[in-house]
Amino acid sequence: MAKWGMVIDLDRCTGCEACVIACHAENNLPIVGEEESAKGRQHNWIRIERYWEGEYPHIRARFIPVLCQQCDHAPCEPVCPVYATYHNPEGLNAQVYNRCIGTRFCANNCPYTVRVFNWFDHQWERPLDEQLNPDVSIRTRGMMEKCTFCVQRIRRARHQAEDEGRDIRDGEVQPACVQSCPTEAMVFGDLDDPDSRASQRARSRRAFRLLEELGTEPSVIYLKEDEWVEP
Amino acid sequence: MAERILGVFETSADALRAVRGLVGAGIPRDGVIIGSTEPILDPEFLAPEDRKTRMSLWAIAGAILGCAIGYSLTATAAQLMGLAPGGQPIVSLWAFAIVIFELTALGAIGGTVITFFRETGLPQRRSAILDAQVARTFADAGFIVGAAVDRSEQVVVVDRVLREVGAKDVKYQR
Amino acid sequence: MGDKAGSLTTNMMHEDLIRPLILTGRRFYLVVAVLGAIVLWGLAAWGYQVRTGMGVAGINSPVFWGVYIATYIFFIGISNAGTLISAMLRLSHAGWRHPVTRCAEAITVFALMVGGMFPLIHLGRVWKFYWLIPYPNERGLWPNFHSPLVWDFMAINTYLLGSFVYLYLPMLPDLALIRDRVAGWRRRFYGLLALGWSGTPVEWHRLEKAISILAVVIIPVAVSMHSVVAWDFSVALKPMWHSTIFAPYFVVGALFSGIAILMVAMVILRRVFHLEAYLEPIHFNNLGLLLLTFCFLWLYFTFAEYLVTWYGHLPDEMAAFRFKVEGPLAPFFWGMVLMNFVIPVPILAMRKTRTVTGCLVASLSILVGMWLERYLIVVGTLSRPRLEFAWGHYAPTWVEISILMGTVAYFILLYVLFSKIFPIISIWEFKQGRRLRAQKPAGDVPVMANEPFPGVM
Repeated sequence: MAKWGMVIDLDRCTGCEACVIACHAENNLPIVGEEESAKGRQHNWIRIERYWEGEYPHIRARFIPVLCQQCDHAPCEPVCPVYATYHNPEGLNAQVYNRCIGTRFCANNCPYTVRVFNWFDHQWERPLDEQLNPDVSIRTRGMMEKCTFCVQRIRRARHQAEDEGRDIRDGEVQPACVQSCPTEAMVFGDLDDPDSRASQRARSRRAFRLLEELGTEPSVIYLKEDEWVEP
Repeated sequence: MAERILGVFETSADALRAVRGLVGAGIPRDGVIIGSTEPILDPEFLAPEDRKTRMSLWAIAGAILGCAIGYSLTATAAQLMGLAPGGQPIVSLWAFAIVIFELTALGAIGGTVITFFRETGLPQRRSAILDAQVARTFADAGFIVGAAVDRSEQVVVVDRVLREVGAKDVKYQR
Repeated sequence: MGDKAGSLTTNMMHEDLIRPLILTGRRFYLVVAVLGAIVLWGLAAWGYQVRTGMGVAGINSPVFWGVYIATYIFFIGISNAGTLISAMLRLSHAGWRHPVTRCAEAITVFALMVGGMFPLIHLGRVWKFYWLIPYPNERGLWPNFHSPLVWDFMAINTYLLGSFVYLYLPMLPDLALIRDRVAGWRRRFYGLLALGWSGTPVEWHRLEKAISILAVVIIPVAVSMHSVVAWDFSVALKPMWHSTIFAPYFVVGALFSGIAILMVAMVILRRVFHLEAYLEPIHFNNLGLLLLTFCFLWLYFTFAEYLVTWYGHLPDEMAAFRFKVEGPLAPFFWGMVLMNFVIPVPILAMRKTRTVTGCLVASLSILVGMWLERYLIVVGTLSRPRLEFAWGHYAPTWVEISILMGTVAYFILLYVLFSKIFPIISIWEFKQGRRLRAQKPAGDVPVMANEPFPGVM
C-alpha cells in the first residue's frame, strides 16, 4: 500500500495560481463570487498564501500553496462526532460527504484552516454545468469538504494497474494541481518508495513541514526557499 | 368493602399518638392508614417491614450496570468502526471515560427512580387512601390517621381512640 | 428570617401559592402573546436558515462557530444553576433553601432544553442530527465516542433526564395537594401528574431518600456537563482554547451566571405573584453574598487564563490575546470586565445596596457579561487561526440575532408557563422549613435535625 505525499518546492512557486484553477475544474468546486469571498467564504481546496517581506523598495513577496496536509495524526479526525473524516490505509485523510452532518468542528480544529464548508447549495450557470467532472460528487449545503489529493485519480490509476497486474508507477498519479504547475514546483508520489521523485525531493536539506511542532505529521513536505541575493 | 375511619390531625405529634392508640386498641399495624401533606420521617410512622429501603443498593447496582453498558457500548462501537481517529487508539479510555461516566450516573438515577416507584407502589390512578371529600379537609389540616374495619364494634373503638388523642375531625369513607 | 414566614398560616400559604395557578389575569395572556410572537419569529428565521443554508448566518471561514455556540455555552451555563445550587443547598442543609429550590430546578430544565437546541440549530445538515445517537442500524455505523460533541450529547441528555426527575419527584406532594384542593378538569389534570401520591409514611420516607441520592448523583453530572462544554474547546489545538483550566473556568462561570439568573427569576416571581413573604430579603442577601464570591472567583480564573497566555508570549496565542484585549473585540472584553466585576462587586459588597433591587441590577449585569465572555471565547480564538493568511472576522446577521432572541423568549415563555401551571415555590418544603424553625428541637424530623442557622451554606 502506498503512502501518498506531496513535495512543494517554494523556490519554484511563482504564485501563478494555476493549481487553484485546475483544482476548481477537477473537483467541481463552485465559484462563489466576490461578495461571498469578501465574507471569508472563498471555495478553494488549495490557496496561495502571499506574505510581503520588507519595506519598499526592498520588498519581496513570498508564496506558499496551502492545501490539506493529509496529516497522519489529523486533529480534524477525533473531533468529528460521526466519523465523517477518517484516515485510510494509504495515508489519506478522507472526508465522507454523505456522512457529514456539518458541525464544522473539524474545520475549527484544523491548524491549517484548509477545510471548506458548503454555506449554500451551488449552481453552475450554463454551459459550465456541462464541464462538471463525473468522477467527483457534487456536495450539497451543510457539508464539509477539502482537498482529497484527487483521490479519484488515485483510484483510476490503481484500477488500471490492477487490470494490468502491476504496481502503480511513479508519476502515474498526478493530482490536478501538480499536473498544472508550470514550474513543476509540486511533485506527488509514494513516500514509502525511496526511489520515487517525491521521496528523493523530500530528502532535501531544505525540507520542512508546516506547523510541524504540533505533531500532526503532515504528508505535505515543503522545500524552503534558498536565500538569494538581489541583483 | 370495609369502612374507613379517618381522623384529621394538625400536628405530627398528635398523629403519632393516634397511631399508638390504634395499635394499642388492637388494630393490626399494617391496617393503620397514615397520610400527611408534610414529610413524616419519624421511623415510628413506618410499619416495621417498611423501615428498610434498598434504594441505595439499587442506585449502586444501576451505576454498575450503567458503567458496564457505557464501557461495552463505547468499546464495541469503536471496534466495529475500526478507525483510529487522529492517531488515537481505536478504544481510547481517556476519551470514552466521559461517556462511561454519564451512563454510570444515568444508571444510578434510573436505579433510584425505579426503586422509588417500586417501594412506594406508585404510580397509581388516584390516591389510595382518600376520596375527594376527605381530601380537601386533609389538605388543609396536614395529617390523617385511621383504619379500615369490617366489624361495627371496631368502628366505635377506632372512632373513640381517634377523638381521644385529639382528632380535629373524624371522617367516614366507604 | 422567620418572622414573616412564621406568621403565615397553612391556609394562607395554600391560597398564596395555589391562587396563581387558577386565576389568570390579562397580563399573563399579553406576556405569553408577546413571547410567543418572538418565538415564532425566531422559528421562522431558523426555517429560513435550514432551507437556504448556513450561509445566511454571519459565520465564515475561519470563524466557523459564532453566536449559536456562544449562546449554547451561555444557556448550558445558566442551566448549571438550578439543580446544582439546589442540590448543594439540600446536601448542606442550608436552612434558607426551601423557597429557592423549585424555581432554581425549573431554570435548569428549561435552560437545558433551550441550550440543547443550539447544537442542532448550528448543524449544517440538521435533518441528519440523529446520526449522533448511538443506535444499531443496518449500515453498521456508530457515532465517534472520541468526539467531544458526542460527549456533549450524552452529558446533555443525562443532565436533562436527571434534572427532570430531580424537579418532578419532589413536586409530587405539591401536585397531590393541588389535586385535593381543586375541582373539575384541574383535579383530573393534577391527579394524573401526581401519580396517586397520598402522603403515606413510606412515600415520604422514600422520597426523602430518593432526593438525597439524586442530589449526590446530580452534582458530578452537573459539573461534568459544563466541563464537557469546556472540552469542546480545550481539546482543540487552538490558541487560547487549548487550556487545562478551561473546565473549572467554565464551571465557575456557569455557576456565576446561574446564580445571577436565579436571582432575576426570584425578583420577577416575587413581584408578579406577590411572594414577598416567601422570598425574603434574607434570600437575596445570602444569594447576593454567594454571587459576590463568584465575582472574585471569576476574576481569579480569568486573570489566571490571560496572565499565562500573556507571559508565555507564544506568537499564535498572542494573536488571539491581542484580538480580544486590544483588537476589534476589546470593547467586548472590557465590557465583560465591567459587567462581571466592576459593576456587581460594589453593589453586592455593600450591605446598603445588597437589596432586592441591587441584586437584580448586579445579576442582569452579570448575565450580559457572561454572554460576552462566551462570545469572546468562541469568536476571539477562531478569528485568529495559526496561519496568518487565514485570519478573519465575524459579525452576526439578522438571522442569528433573530434566533438568539427567539430562544431567549422561548426560555422565558417556558418558565412563565411552568410558574403558571405548577407551584413555583415548593409548598411542602416551605412548610417543612417553617416547622423546623418554629419547633427548634425538631424531634419528629431526625433527618433534618442538624439544620444549621440560616445564612450559611
